Amino acid sequence: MELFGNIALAAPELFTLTTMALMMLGTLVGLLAGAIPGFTIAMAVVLVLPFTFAMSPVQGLATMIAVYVGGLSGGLMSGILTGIPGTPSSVATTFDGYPMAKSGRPGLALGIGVWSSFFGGIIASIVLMLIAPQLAQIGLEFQPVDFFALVIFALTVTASLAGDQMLKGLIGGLLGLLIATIGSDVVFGLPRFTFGIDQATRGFAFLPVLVGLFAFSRLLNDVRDPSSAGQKLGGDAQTTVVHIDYIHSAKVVLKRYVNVIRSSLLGVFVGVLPAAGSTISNILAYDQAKKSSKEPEEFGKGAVDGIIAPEAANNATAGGALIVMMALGLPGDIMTAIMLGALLVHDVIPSPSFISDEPTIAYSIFLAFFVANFMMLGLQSLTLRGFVLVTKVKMYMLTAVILFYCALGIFALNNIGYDMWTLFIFGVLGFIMRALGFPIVPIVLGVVLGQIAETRLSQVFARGDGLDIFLTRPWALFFILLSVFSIAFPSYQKLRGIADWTRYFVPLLMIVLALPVFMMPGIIRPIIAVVMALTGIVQIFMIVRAPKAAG
Amino acid sequence: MKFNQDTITALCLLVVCGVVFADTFRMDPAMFGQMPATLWPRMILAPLALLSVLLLVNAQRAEAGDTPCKSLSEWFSYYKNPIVCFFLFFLFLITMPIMGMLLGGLAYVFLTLSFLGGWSRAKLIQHALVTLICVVGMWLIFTQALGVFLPEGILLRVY
Repeated sequence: MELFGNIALAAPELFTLTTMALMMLGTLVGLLAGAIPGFTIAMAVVLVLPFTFAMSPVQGLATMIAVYVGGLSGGLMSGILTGIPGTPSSVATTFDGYPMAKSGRPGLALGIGVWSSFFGGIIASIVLMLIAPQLAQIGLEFQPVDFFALVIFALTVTASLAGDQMLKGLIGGLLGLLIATIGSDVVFGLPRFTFGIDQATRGFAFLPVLVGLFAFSRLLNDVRDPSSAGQKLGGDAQTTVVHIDYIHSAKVVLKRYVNVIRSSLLGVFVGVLPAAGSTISNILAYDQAKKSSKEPEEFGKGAVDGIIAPEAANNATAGGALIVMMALGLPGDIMTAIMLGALLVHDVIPSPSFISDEPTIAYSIFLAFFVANFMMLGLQSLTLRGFVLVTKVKMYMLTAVILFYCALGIFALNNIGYDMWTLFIFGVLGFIMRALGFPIVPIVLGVVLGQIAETRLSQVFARGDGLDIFLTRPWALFFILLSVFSIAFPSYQKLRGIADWTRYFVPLLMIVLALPVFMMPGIIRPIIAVVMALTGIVQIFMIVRAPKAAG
Repeated sequence: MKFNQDTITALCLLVVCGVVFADTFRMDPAMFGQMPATLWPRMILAPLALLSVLLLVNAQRAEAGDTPCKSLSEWFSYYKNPIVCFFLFFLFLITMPIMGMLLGGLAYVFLTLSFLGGWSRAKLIQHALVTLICVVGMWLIFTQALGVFLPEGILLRVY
């Protein structure tokens, strides 16, 4: 009942003519940005961010969420019509969307993609509204040491997702943390690592750092090759306006509701994991859909399930990422890091008590995510015409103009030129790091999470807790153990089915994690811990008993 | 010792670690019961230095010839576009007090467009139009609609 009460509180704030108009505009911008190959959703949100400074927190955040949702769905247009995914989150959509479009059914392929995105988003927003407040309740149990351990976990997972580049991912994460220490220390405000430069005592505002490292360096990377800089955004493929077959495609998608629900839930789960994001969820969902399909041989040739799975999953991932950001105040990816920045600009500081302290803003965000999916559904057809026009723009034109917009937007953040210099310095750094093969996401998350980590550590220190607190606090131990396993995860993934030890990885993880879960208060969690431990032990027993060839 | 890309990166990282670590000794000591300002950076620097050594070791073990060495001119021609774009952006920032956001933006976008897209007459006209619409349009939105005070610059300042 509290849920409906809070929704009723937030609805009048959100459902105003201005906010709805802004959201529609945001969805349109997101759809177009998502459709442009090489132009990421994060860049679209970054560009929209300065316009939200003059808005109320609800209006600003609703607009940004609309861009986010639109961007996630926009990628399917270019993926299906040109075979070039608009965003990394639509890569798997092209596997079957493009063949279906080529076989003369582009309207149906687009319709399936649009409806799947819609249902994925709706399922995720329901899960978001139900889970985020509960997770925030758990978050209230967190002490500074638990938050510190959670940040460490987020960084190790981010680095481990860099795969073969894990070493560089870890170095990147640590570099990000180091960058966040420049300026002044969080306890006394004493200058630190300023090397005699007075202005450096301000430190670096994280939005200019984020835009520099991520967007600025990416844009210049895109125009490094003169031939690709001069290419049209849509490539050489001729794109024509097609009509989306809404009614028939809705029936087709609803018939495959199991795939829609499974892919959406998978998307939410991946979104909850730090740094995983829709880039991973769309591929995972596609893989799962193929494995559970009765006609796996049809995948890659225009299978309906092959379009449903990635599109439902990538939209649902946004809901998962928002769950953690809203409930714990910790951004898990670039998008939620920007969202966090936007919240801070409006003097709203997300934390576990955020949802209960600021129910109007929190539930407005939930509702905005829900409403944006309806807008996306309605605006896809309209955007298709814009998309055909935008694909004719050349890459270098977009780059030059957006670099200027980045500078303008970053200046508007605090009205100081220093931020533009920060943008420039981190643009150069980001470009060099990319060229050297360092993944950018761990660096960005390191910068964003660095100050949170130091603040929490100083609180641990001030409380006089010893180092043993990491072993005696259940949540801290839980995240530390997860961090250790996440470091081993890339090796597990690489050697699964080859090395013998990989068979014990998951059962061992369950047994080890059962310990901190058992230490948690209440009755339910210790019972879950016993079940986890028993399951792990049984699995190990079965592996030991089973003949080696079966493994 | 092999001087490949990762070796140079690892050595640079180790130098950074050393310089920053040395700087932590210049900071004031903490008050009783408070976390010293040096603790967190040192906690970061220790694993960073360790991982940099690991990167160095890996770089030494790596097979030679993975990435062919480039001469300085080859390297410049490979990265010409980003280098010039960064330089133009640097000029845009450094001339901001004189040119302001509007004139500086017009010059920056036009020059970047023309450098990346070409200097033919038709292109120059196209670039001038794109610059005018995009820069002036966005400048108007920020100054008139959003009420942001953008740097005017000495040239446009009205006394």
